[in-house]
Amino acid sequence: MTLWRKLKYLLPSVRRVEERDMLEELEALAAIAEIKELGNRTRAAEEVRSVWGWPRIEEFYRDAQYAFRMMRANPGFATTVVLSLALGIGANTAIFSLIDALMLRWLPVRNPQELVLVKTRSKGDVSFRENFSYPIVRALAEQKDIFAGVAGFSGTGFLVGPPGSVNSVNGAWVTGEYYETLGLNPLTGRLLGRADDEPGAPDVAVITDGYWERQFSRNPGIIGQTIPVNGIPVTIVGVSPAGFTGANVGQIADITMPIANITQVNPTMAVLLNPGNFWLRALARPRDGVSARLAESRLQGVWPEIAARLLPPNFPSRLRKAFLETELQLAPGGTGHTFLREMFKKPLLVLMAAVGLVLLIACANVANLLLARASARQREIAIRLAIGAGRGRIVRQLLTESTLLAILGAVLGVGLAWATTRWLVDSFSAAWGKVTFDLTPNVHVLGFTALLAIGTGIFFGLAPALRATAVVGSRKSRLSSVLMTTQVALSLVLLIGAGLFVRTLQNLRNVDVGFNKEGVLLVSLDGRREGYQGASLAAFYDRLLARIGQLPGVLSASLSQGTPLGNGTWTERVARDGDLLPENENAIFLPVTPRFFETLQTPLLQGRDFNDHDTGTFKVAIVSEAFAQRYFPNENPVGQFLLASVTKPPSRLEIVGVVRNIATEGIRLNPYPTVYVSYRQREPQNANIELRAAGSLSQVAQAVRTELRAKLPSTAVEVHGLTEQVEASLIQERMMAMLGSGFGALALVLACVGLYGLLAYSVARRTKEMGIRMALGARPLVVEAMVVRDAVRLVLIGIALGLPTAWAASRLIASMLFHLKPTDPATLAGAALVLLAAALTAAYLPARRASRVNPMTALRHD
Amino acid sequence: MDLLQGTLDMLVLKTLVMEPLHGYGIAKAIRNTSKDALDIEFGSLYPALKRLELKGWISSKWETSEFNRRAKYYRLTPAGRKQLQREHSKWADFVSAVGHVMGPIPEGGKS
Repeated sequence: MTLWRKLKYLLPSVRRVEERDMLEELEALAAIAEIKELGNRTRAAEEVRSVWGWPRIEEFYRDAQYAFRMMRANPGFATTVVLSLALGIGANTAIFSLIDALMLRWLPVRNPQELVLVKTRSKGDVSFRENFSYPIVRALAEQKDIFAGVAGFSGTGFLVGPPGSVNSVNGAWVTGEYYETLGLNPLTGRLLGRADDEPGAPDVAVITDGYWERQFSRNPGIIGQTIPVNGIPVTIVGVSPAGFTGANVGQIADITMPIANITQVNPTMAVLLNPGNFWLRALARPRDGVSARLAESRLQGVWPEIAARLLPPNFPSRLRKAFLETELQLAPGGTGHTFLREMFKKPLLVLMAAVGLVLLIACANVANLLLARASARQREIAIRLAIGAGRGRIVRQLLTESTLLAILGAVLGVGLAWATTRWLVDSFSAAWGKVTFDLTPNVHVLGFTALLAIGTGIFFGLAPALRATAVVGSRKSRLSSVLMTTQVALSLVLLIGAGLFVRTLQNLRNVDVGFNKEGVLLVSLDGRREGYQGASLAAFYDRLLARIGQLPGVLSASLSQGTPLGNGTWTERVARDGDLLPENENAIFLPVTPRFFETLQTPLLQGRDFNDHDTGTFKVAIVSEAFAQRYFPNENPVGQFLLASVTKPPSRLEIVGVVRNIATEGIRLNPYPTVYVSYRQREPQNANIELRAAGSLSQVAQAVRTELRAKLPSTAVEVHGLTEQVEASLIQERMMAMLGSGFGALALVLACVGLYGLLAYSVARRTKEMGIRMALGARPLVVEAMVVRDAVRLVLIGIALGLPTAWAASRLIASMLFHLKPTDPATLAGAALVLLAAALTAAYLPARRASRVNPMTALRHD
Repeated sequence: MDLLQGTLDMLVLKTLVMEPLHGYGIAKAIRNTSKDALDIEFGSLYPALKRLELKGWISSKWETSEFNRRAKYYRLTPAGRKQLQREHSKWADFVSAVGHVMGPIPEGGKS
């Protein structure tokens, strides 16, 4: 093979032998022929060498060697360039790897591109719903002429371990066909099958490879053993393959159990098996030869019958009608499912655009540095052109230099990105405790970065390279000023964006949430797990509360079903007593004990708090201001009655008090009418304890933990602050404010470094001019002003270009802002001022140097 | 006379059909056969030989010449013979195509 023979020539030893042989041959021929006949033998030999060689590669190698020498000769320049690019490329890699992890990564299953996610949409609705009931998923799985398999799944938490040392482990409930549909094979043991998901089937679980390693040190003997899950012995039947952590992206399911086991393992949730509960996602694999489109159209045929058959009989008629009219859609499902995708898609795309701008700024910066250096290297390049180097050859060499710089930047950038994303995801997890992503750089990410590096290397290197080799000596160049104003304009856009996100977060933090989050601790618990029920459970909660209230440092303690910005609230249909219950007007309901409002420091505006006599059945209610305004405008609601669908038939509740609005569902939302009922007037279920503490929160938390662990041996007791819960609800805004200002600051620094470099260079070039001016009597201040004026002119043009750009771009993020217009004048002016101040600081040093020029030295300067 | 691109390779292969020759011999043979019309510069011929050798169409061996001098002789390989056939038919097609276009030499057009 030609290639093979050619590759041999890369070996120096082969090359030496052939070289000697060629010279010998030429020598021999010279002896035979007349000397003139052979012409220039040296040239012939040189051409043969290029036949043997890999001219492009060897040239590249030589160029790279040369480039490294140049870098060593100018370490300051090389460091500035590499760092600028590392920051620019690193920021891009970081955001891209988040996008990749969240949206682009295939599930590690067989042919993931075949999988589809089943969705429904009601007529007239914009968005799809992705939840299905257990009976519907099973009915879909029976459509064997459409699907090879349908996997229903939902994330959950399991309490694992013997009483006294219980841990909370993330897990999933899945249908019997889950693993078969995904096409997975067990690492050891077996995976779940259809028979496991039948009523009365033994309690079994599959664990992930990671859990097997962490908990059981990969001991194969664990297969067939039982572990206590929610206090019930569950047999581990197998380990799922390495890399697979469930179909919910971002939420690891270390323990996976069949849904039919819910009745034994989590009896309080057995209602999930009923047709009225829509809680499962459905990933399906169309059978061989059936495309997603065909599957969808066949499904439309059978869907109305399935929907009609499997809706619960007591489903409200309006909802039933709407549901029967839903259309089905099969969306690509190979990347799994995650609620995070909906939540973070837009923020990540906005951030991707931002880091794109950062990279542009970095490129402009580096291009400017290269331009400056190209004029310093003009002599070298002129000599090379003069002794016969082609322009293309020199451009190629300069591009090799810039690409190498970019590659060095990229290598550093990948490291930066990896550290940053790890830290970012960790800070998400601190808020939610559950988010885990695989962020190891993969082919997508590294490919993206490599393309970016080579692209930027050529992008920022081309103009300076062409300029440097232009045969006609260039006149005073405008290019560097253009690059500079572009940098300023782009930095301004980023600064404005950052300002808008920071102000949004501030506005959200300043919203009156209706409670004082400082100094409050929360504990979530469920006494039913400890074997209490009904009256004994109520008594147990009372004892716990009394005990907690006596702990040192606890000022006030209460118990409630849910917490502000947490879980546990729900909605019921409500009306004034005497009116008919409307179909679709409702209020948020939250059962609480006495002192709940005192603990949260939510002002009681009228009437009284619940007291120890509010027991038995639903009788009294405390309503929020929003409720009072909606249902009793211009009236005193205290003493009046409301009607609520908490029971059948609806209960009449006497309003005994009115409290300030509490942000229960989200700080961004307008206060929703809320009804607080007495926790002791309904069947006790799970609960949250909230307590206000004085002094050290962590000491009180420790005391509470110790106290509760003893009383709740089957619960993984976790105490956390209300502050954390509030902050967790702002995670998206916090991320935007934090990363936005990070990238804004980065842009500002890059632009200032660029401005400094440009001015320093122009001062150095104009040393002679400055000297003459000073010799003619210009005062230092005048010279300083001259340099600063140049800078200010560039910056002002940049700002003038940046403002309208930002004005146009900020519309795209209007929906992410809070109580703020995208054209908020204060933010715009603030950003422009920050930019101007930073630019003046950057301009000051070169200006000072210019004014210190010694006229005599300057005039002798060449 | 200038050579068309790639024609040199074909000429070299053709020349080697009869007998193995050394580098200078090939140049001489082409000149003689073409009645001095094609005077190939050795500086172009020699790299072409090495290129053909790399492609495996010719092979070389040190031998002793008619005047008892050592020289490297090139011979056609079976792959080279096949390549020559291909080039030859391509060449014939090309010549006839150009011939069709050009037609007979116009009156007074002889230069």
